[in-house]
Amino acid sequence: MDEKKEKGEKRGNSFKKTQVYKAIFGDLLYGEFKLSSPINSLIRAVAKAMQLNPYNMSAGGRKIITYTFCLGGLSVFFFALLACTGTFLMLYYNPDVNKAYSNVEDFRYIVPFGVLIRNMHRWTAHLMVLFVSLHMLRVFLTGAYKPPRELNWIVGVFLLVLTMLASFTGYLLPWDQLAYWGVTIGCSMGENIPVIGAKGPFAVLKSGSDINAVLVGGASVGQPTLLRFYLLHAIAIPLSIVALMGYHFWRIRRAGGVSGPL
Amino acid sequence: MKEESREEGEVVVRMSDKEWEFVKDLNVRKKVKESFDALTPRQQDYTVRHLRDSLGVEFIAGLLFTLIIMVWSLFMDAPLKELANPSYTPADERAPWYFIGLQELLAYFDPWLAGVVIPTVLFVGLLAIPFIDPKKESGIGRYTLVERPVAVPAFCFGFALWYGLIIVGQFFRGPGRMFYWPWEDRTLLKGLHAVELVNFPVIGGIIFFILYYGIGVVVPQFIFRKFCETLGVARYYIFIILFLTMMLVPVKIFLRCVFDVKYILSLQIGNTMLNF
Repeated sequence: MDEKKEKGEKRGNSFKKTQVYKAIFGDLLYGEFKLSSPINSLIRAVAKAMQLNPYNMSAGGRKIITYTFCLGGLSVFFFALLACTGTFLMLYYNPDVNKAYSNVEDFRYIVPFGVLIRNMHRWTAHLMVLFVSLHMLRVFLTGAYKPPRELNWIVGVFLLVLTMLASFTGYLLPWDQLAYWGVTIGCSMGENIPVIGAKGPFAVLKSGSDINAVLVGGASVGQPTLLRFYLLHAIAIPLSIVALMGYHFWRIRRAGGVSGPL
Repeated sequence: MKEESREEGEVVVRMSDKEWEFVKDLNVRKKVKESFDALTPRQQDYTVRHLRDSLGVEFIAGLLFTLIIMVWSLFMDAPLKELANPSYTPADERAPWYFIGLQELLAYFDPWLAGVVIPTVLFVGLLAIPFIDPKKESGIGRYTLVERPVAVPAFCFGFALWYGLIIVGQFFRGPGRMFYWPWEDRTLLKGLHAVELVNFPVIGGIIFFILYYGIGVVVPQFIFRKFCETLGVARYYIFIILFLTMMLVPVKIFLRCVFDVKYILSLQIGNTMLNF
């Protein structure tokens, strides 16, 4: 019996020593969440959270222009700018196929500063997608995904995908030819998923009831798609990005700052 | 890697040797207090005030880009074409630029490969990177090719491939998604491919894939012995299969452009054609 128990424990321990386990659970078990007393751990968590902006940091921070190129910071800045301009655009926009296009035309001709805000929203979105991907390149080249930062890399990959999806869902909202056919091409990818897409290999579902119909809300892009994409673009994706970003930054501090040259 | 003992209330920090050199004299409590005086003179030299030296730079960068975006927005309008018309397909329909690389792949692969399988492999591969890389200590915090001779070129190649496809799809495609050089007249419609594309025979296709993956997996084990040893068996196989799969994209593009190969392997299973 005892031998069996020991063996079992050993097996569990060897799993705990793997990189995957440490990356995901390491902080929770060894870090400040170790519950000696609830108040203690709360104080320690707050103290750690405060270090999001520490008063002092290592000299690597001085090389911010030539080392990180501000890529991550500027991505956050672009996100904030997009949130501000996007909120303004929401005031005048209806996710309705009969109104959307004329609403967007109103930004050009009627709404004060409408054209400027819409342009800013569009160009900033392009810049954000570009900068997030460049940020990933920087993180890879400086080895900033290595322990203890693996989980942050994973969160970052999800943030990259979410950024692209946010931009893609926003692409449909003006409801012009560019948007309609661009999104039609993008969504046709859903039709080609094996088994659950209507046109994919080994398709079992018919067009109009496959996975693409769930995403688009019908057999082709239409009013349900516009409403879905509006909801995703204005609420679901930004909130997910904010949540993941918060965790992303906290993990940077938790790992002892940017993987800067010390 | 330094792992200190885990006594009650103590915070364990995993860090590289260099980072450890820097913080080893610090009392953890004092570090939490962020007291500048608690640092040794040498550490004070290596420490900067966050607000003054770092946040200031970020703030200026933010201001600069606000200015750039404002000027850009004043002089260049966001595109807005005519009202969406589901019954009229424009001649040059294109996805947004960040997905145009995938659309470009549609010219070479069937949609389920270009739009579903390749992005999925890419996504999974990106997630796996930290766990494939065997060098946990080297090359952290600096740009180095010497210390990471495989990782850096492999990743940069993939990154360049992604953006290369985007550039081709965005700037070298005209009406009907045909290839146009920048100096060619885009109002002239190009005919479809004059040359008939050929398939490999089924046996040939199977042999091609067996040879491709077989040679690709086995040969490096003899040439780069040291590299394989540092990776270990499992990591090596995951890495090499992901890498070879990535290389299939340029290989297929090469075969299509030079030898007019339509599909390397075309399998019929039931009613479904699986074309690679």
